[in-house]
Amino acid sequence: MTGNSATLQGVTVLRRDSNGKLFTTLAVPNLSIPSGVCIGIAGPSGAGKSTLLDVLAGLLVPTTGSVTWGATPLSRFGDRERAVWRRQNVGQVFQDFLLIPELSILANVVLPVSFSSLQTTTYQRQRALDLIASLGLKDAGRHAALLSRGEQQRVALARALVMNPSIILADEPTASLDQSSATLVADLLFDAARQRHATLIIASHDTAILSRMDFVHRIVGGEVEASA
Amino acid sequence: MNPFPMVLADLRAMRWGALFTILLIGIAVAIGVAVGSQERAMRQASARASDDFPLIIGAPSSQAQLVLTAVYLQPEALPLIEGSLLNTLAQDPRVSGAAPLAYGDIVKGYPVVGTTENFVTRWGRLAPVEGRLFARENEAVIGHAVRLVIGETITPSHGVAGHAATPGEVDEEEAGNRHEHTKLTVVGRLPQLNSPWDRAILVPVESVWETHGLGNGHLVDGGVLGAPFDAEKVPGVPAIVVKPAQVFQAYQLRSAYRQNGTMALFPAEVLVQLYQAMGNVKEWLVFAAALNNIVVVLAIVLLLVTLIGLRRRRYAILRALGATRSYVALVVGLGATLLMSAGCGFGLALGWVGSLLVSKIITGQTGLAMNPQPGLDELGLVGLMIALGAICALFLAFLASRGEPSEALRS
Repeated sequence: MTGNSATLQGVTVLRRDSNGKLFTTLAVPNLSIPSGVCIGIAGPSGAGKSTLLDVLAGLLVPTTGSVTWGATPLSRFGDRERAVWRRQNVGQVFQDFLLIPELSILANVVLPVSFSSLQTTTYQRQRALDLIASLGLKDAGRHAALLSRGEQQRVALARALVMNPSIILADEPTASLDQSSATLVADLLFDAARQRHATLIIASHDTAILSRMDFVHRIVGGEVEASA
Repeated sequence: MNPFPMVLADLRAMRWGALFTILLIGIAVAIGVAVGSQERAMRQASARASDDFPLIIGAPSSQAQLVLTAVYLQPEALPLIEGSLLNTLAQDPRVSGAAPLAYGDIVKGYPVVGTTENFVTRWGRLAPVEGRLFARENEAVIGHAVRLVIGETITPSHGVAGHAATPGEVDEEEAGNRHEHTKLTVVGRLPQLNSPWDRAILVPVESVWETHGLGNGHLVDGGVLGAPFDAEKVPGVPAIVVKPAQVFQAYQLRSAYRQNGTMALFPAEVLVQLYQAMGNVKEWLVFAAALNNIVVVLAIVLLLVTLIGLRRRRYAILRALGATRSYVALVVGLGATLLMSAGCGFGLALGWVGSLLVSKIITGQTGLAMNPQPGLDELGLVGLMIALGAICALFLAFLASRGEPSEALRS
């Protein structure tokens, strides 16, 4: 079982520009994330917030350095191990929701279950339906393509929570929502993290959401500057 | 893992593209299936139709034309052989039976064939399913598909060489060339033979000779039918069907009657030549169809490669949610395999239906009943296409599972 505290040491992510020249997109000399806290990642667009989330989720292996979740040396894992770890431990919410429009609300929510099981168990299905209901969504059979943006983000949240993750990562979860939907989604994220004692990490521009965090780290030019 | 929810979502996302793909592969496969099954059905039907014609004797001319006229009732003006040959054959111990085939007249588009009772019954194998056999001149026994009734009186017309009459219909040519002095009465109907002979009207050969003012081949008018033909001058006939007493005697007879102004042949040997020609054409057509199939599959693979490029982000979402590369590969590979297999299955069905329709048209034109079935060759072709599709699907699966999801998610 992965712990939900993280340690990043000497992490850098290098990329090549269009001329083939290497540049640093992320540099985190040392960062500790305690278990069960709510961490905000702030910074201008292109600063490296999403890259940091990708590194934390194991979607991106840093060029140098190590990422450890509890006792799990994530950056030393292979692609398959990282995928399995992500599925079992991480719930992700994206700015554009990233639902599969051709699937129903329920099918979108239970999609991560299908990565490891041939069939959704009655328990998993009921759990997904309960989650959907608790997020105020009606008619789980509706196709995702027919939902409003607020509803889509709630479905994305339900999908992130269906595997009962100990780590919740959200990348600009309220950026494309109106004020009331944004507040609702933020409330849901904090509630979900609190109920599960999960570590919640949100990358956002939204000062309202950042003000509710236990800690906020600012990133400028790929470098984590300070904690607030 | 269960890739099916995503496979179905992918297919739903590209429903028109999926339908187009299935249609395109289906048409490409159908051409190969139809060509193969049609050619085989034609070969089987023509071979079956020639079973009742062990050896045919005619005057020296085109072997193929003699077979087409005698076996498949596609009448052409053939040179005649001496009618006295019928008597010679009747006395030949190597001959179990010999029957003249005299063509030239039609009734309602159906060919009238003058022959003898032993050929009508195919040497005792057949009996009328309705009525009786002809017992005197001017009586007729009709094939199973002839739309005439027992007791009906008909008047034959002189057929015109090269003019294709439509069975069941009286056209201007027929109406203008009636043998008004000849009246035939239908007395019996033969069982179904699934051959052009189902559309023939069989009359005593004597009636045909009489109709054309050649006497009746006998010394006494209105006497017995069939051999021996004891007239001083027995009229000629275009063809004689011979049933040899023994197999080895068939070869002796063929050899004996390949000289002195006659030509003897086994229809099978002519058919083999035709089949060879048909086979060569079929091989080229199947080759062209297979090539066509490969081109279509490659075009579809290119289409899917483009589609996968457009769907990079979609598959990156799956990876971000915890799907392994193998899950993504399975989704894409299975989807592509399903599409191509559905196309192949559709093509098999379409090809079969197509060849059934073509068979129906050919049967309508010739009376040759065909039963086209996809055989091992066609199933092999479809299997090959599915295998090719599966290999392409593997390639597509590899493409889709490549790359870092973080890059695709930000794209």
